[in-house]
Amino acid sequence: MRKPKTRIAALLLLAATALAVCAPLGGSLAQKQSASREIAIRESQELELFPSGKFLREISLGHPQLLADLAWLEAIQYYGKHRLSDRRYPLSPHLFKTLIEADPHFEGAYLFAALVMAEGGYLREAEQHLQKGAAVNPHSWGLRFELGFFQYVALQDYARAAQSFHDASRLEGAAEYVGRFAAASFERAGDEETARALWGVIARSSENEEIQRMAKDRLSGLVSPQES
Amino acid sequence: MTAVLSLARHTILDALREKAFMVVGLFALLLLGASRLLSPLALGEGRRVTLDLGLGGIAVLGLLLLILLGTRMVHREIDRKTILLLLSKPIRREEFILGKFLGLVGVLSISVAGMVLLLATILWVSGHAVEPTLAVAGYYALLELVVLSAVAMLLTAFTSPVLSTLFLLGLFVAGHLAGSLLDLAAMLPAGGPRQISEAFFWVLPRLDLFSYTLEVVHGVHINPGQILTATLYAVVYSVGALALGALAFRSREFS
Repeated sequence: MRKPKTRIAALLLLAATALAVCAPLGGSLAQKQSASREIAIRESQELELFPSGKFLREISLGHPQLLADLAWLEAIQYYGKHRLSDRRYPLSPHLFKTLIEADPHFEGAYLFAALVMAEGGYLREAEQHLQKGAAVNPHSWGLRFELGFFQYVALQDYARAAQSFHDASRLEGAAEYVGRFAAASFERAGDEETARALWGVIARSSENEEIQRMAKDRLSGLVSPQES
Repeated sequence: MTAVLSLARHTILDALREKAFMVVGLFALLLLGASRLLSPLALGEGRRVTLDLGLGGIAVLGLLLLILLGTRMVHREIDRKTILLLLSKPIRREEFILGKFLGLVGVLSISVAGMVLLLATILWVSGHAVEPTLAVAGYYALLELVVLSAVAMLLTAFTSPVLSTLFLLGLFVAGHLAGSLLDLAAMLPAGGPRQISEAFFWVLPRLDLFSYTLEVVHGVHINPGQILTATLYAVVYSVGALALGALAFRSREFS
């Protein structure tokens, strides 16, 4: 049996060794934390100084889309960096505002902004981005469709989603499936009359036999007011 | 007119000898490298990035070519004393300026057409759509260079190549911001400053009229009326600048 003094000495030696090993690790960790804090502060300061889109348009000398591309690449980098770390995007509104002001017709920017906002939990802001994009680009069926999709999936507001899908389906070049989304959404929202009308249009107009069959099935599943 | 065309042809051949068209090769290399590097980072917006870089490159390299050739072409004739030989022939000084201008526009037209073709090829090879609006963008870039060429002729008639370059660069920047001068005038108090701002608006070349790159990138239909207006403006402004240049050149002494 060891003497207590020897045991204490052994424990002290162990503690000293552990301290000696951990000290540089702790120091290194503290340094790393401090460095990452510094990087975060620097990044925040840099992005706060990121100019406004209006200013970028003025200084672009006729090529605002080129500067919008730079802002786009910066936004992707910012998102990617935070997606892999803290999943917080506090400066994304400023970045996307700049980007959209520099090129208001950049449809991908509205969509990406909405996705990032939604991921951060800002659902209303995300919807506002898509609504703004749809308003600035009145001929884009894609943005209206994305708006409807977002309202359906994220907000679960089927009535408004149905209206957005319906608006998208009436635009030139809209894909055939957009009308089906509108009909199904009206049905889900409880507006059976509109849903019946849209399914009827799809059943009559679609060249795809499978889609015609599907539309007729949906129509037969909806009880008409006369029948009820 | 034969003398003017002969001078223009000579200017184009001279530019070819100077290997000025190396700029087009530089454009191809830069564009290919940048599009290959940035497209994968652009989250599905590769076409847009390639197109934007291409259109920006055409504008910048076109201006570079114009500065390299346009600001030196008259001075080189003076330095080499070949101007004495030329003016001893039955060529009027106005014809000399016009011939040089047309030659410069010829060189720039070939370069811009080459760069637009290269851009279309790179887009096509990368599997992206090539819209006819790209040709319109090339035309607008050329119109801008035509106006700047006329201004270069005016500057070169009475200043040194270095000063011409500086003035031209300044006018390029100011010309693109000219549209904002009226907004500035509206904010200024009535009187001197406002009138000065308005006077600059009318004198400076309205290069913002040739900025339709956003419409081209987004495939927006461009109204033919807009193209016609821009063309007319370029012609009228160029004729005015050339007339002033010819006047300045007429009063110049050579020894």
